[in-house]
Amino acid sequence: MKALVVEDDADLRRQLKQMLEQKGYTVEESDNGREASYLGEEYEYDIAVVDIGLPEVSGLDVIRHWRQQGISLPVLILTARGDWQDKVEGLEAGADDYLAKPFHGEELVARLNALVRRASGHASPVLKFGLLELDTSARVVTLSGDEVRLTSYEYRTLEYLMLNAGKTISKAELTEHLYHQDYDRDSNVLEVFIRRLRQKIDPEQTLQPIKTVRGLGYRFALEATA
Amino acid sequence: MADPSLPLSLRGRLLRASAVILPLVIVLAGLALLKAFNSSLENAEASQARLQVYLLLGAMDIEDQQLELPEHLLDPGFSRLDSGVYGFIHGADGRLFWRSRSSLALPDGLVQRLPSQALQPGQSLFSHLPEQQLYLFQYPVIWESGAGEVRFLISVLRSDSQIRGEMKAFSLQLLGWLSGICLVALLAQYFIMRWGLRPLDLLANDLQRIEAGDSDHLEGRYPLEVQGVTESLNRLIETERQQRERYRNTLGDLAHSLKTPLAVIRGTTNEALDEADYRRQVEEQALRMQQIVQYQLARAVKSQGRALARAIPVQPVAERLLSVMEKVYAGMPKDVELRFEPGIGFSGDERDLMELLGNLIDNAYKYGGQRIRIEAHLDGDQLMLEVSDDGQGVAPDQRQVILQRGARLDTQAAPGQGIGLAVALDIVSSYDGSLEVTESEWQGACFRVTLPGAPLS
Repeated sequence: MKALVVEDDADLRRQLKQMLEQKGYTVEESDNGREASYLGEEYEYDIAVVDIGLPEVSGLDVIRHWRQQGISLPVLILTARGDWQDKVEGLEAGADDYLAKPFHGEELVARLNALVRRASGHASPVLKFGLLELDTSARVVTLSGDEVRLTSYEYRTLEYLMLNAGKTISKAELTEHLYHQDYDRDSNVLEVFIRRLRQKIDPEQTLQPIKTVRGLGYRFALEATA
Repeated sequence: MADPSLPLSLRGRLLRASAVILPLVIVLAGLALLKAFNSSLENAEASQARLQVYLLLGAMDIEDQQLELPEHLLDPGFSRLDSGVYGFIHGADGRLFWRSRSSLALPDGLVQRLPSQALQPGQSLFSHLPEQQLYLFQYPVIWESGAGEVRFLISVLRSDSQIRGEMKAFSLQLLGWLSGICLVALLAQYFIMRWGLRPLDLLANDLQRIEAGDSDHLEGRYPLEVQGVTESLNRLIETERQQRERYRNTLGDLAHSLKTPLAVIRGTTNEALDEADYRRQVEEQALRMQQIVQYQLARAVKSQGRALARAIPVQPVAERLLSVMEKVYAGMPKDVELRFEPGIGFSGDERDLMELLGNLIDNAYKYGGQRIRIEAHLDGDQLMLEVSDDGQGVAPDQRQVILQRGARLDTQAAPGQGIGLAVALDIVSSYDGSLEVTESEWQGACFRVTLPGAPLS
C-alpha cells in the first residue's frame, strides 16, 4: 500500500512514516499543502493522511482540490481541535475519516486499513474468496481455515491483489505500491515472489487464484464471497 | 489613528464649526441691515429734494420770457452760501436761467454738466454724485404762458454729509450690537455643548474607572441616545469578564489536573520497572493527560451559553452530522430516523449545538445496535431533543456516573473512555438546560436534552 503523509511537524511526520512503514505501507511525505496537492494529482496513492492545520494552503484546501480534480483517493484527516464543527468541516470537504491529535499508532493504522478496504468495496476486515481468506486487521491468511505462513512482502502482494480483485495489475504498479523506493525493482524478483505465493496459497494448484496476464501483469481471479 | 486634520473632540469640532459659521452669518446680516438702512435714508433724501423742487416751482414766475424768482425763498437754505442745498433752473437749450445764492461757491464744471436732455416731462431723476458728495434731483417742467410753452429743467443738489454721518453712527452701533450677539451666541453654544456632551465625559470617566479596576460596569445614568451604547458596553464587559474567568478557571483546572499524571510519571522513573512496564505506565498517563487537555479545551472553546435572540435551525445541523457519520461509520450502516417538528430553532450558538448533538449521535453509533432515532420538538420556549438507540442501554445505577466521568477526569478515569458526554452535559448546563439518560422504546439508551428554543422566524 502506498500512502501519502502530509504533516508540517517534522517529528510527527517522521513518527507517522515509521508507524506506517512498520505496518507494511510505502510512505511518501510532504510538509506543505501546495506540494501535497500536486503529489496527489500526479501520483497514485492508496491512502492519504492529511493534517488540517498546514501553513499557507490548509489541509482542507488540499482535499477540496483533489476532489475537484476527481481524485477519489481515501483521505484521513488529523485535527488538533477535535470538536465536531472541525470534524464536520473536514469530512464535508471530502475527507473520509478523521483522527484527533494525539492518537495511538495502532488506531491510525486500523483506520487506514479500514479506509483502504472500504475504498476497494470490502466492508468487513476479512476478505473472503471461497476457501481463501485474508484478515486485514490480524494480517493473517487462511486456506480452508488453516493459517498460511507468508512473509511480509508476500502478504502485502496478496492483499493488494485481493483488494484489486478482477483488475489486471501491472508489475510496475505492484512494485510501486508495495516496495520502498530504494528496493531493487528487478521484475524477476517479483516473479519469484508470485511463484512462491502461488505455491503457498494454492499448493494443490486447484484454485489458480493469481493469473498471469501476458505482457500486462497479474490478476486475482477468484470471486469474492460474503 | 484619527485623521490629524480633524479636531479630535466632538466639542472642538462643534465649536470650530460655529466659530466659523456664526460670525459669517452675523456679518451677512449686518451688511443687509446697513444696506436697508442706507436705502431708507436715500428715500427720505429723495422726497426732501422733490419737496424743494416743488417749492421752487411754486415760487417761479415768467415775465416776457424772463424767469423770475423772489430774492428770499421759503427755504432759507437756498439763500445761505454753502448751506448744502443748491437750486438751478436751466432752459431747454441748456442756458442757465437761475441759480440759488447758496450755489455760488460750487465749482463751475459741475454746474455746466447739470443740463440733460434725457428726461421727459413727468419723469424725475435722483442720483448720488459720490465725488462731489452730493445728491442730485432733477425735474423737467413745461411752462405755458401767453407766448406759448417754455421748457425748464429744475435741479436740486443736496449735500450727502448728513446721510453719511447717520450711516457712520448706525454702522458703529450695529457693529457693537452684532459683536455682542456673536459673543453671547458663541458662549451659549459652548455651554450648551458642555452640558450636552457631559454624558460622554461621564462615560469616559466611567470607562477609566473600569480600566483602573475601581468598577466592573458602567454605573452612571445616561441619556436615551447613549443608553444603548452603555448597555452594550456593559454586556460586552460582562461577557469578557466571564470569558476571562472561565479561561482562568480552565487554566487552573488544567494545570491542577495535569499534576497528578505528571507526578505518576516522575515517580515511575524512580521505580525499578522493566521497560515494558515503564512504557505502559507512561502511555497510560499520557492518555490520561490527553483526555484532560481535550476536555478542558472543549470547555474553554464553547460559548458561555447565553441564550441568543436569533434562533438557529436545528435540523440542518443534525443532517450535516448524520451525513458525516455515515461516512465515518461506513462499515456499520444504521437505520436512522429523523423526527423533527418543522421550523424549530435553538436559541444559542451553532457550534455548541453541533458539539452536543455530535457527541450524542456518535455515542449512538458506537454503542447502539442497528437503529437510531433523533427527535426534536418545541415545548414553549424549550427545545426538546432526544437521541435513542437499540443498544445495551445504560443501567439505572450507571446513568449519573457516565455523565460525570469528564468532571472526575483528574482523579481517575479508565483509559479509552470518552469525554463526549461530559462535554455535552457542560454545554447543556451552560444554557440552564438539562440532560438525562433513560431507556429507549427498544430498551437501548435514550438521551433527553432540554435547551432554550424558539420557532424560526
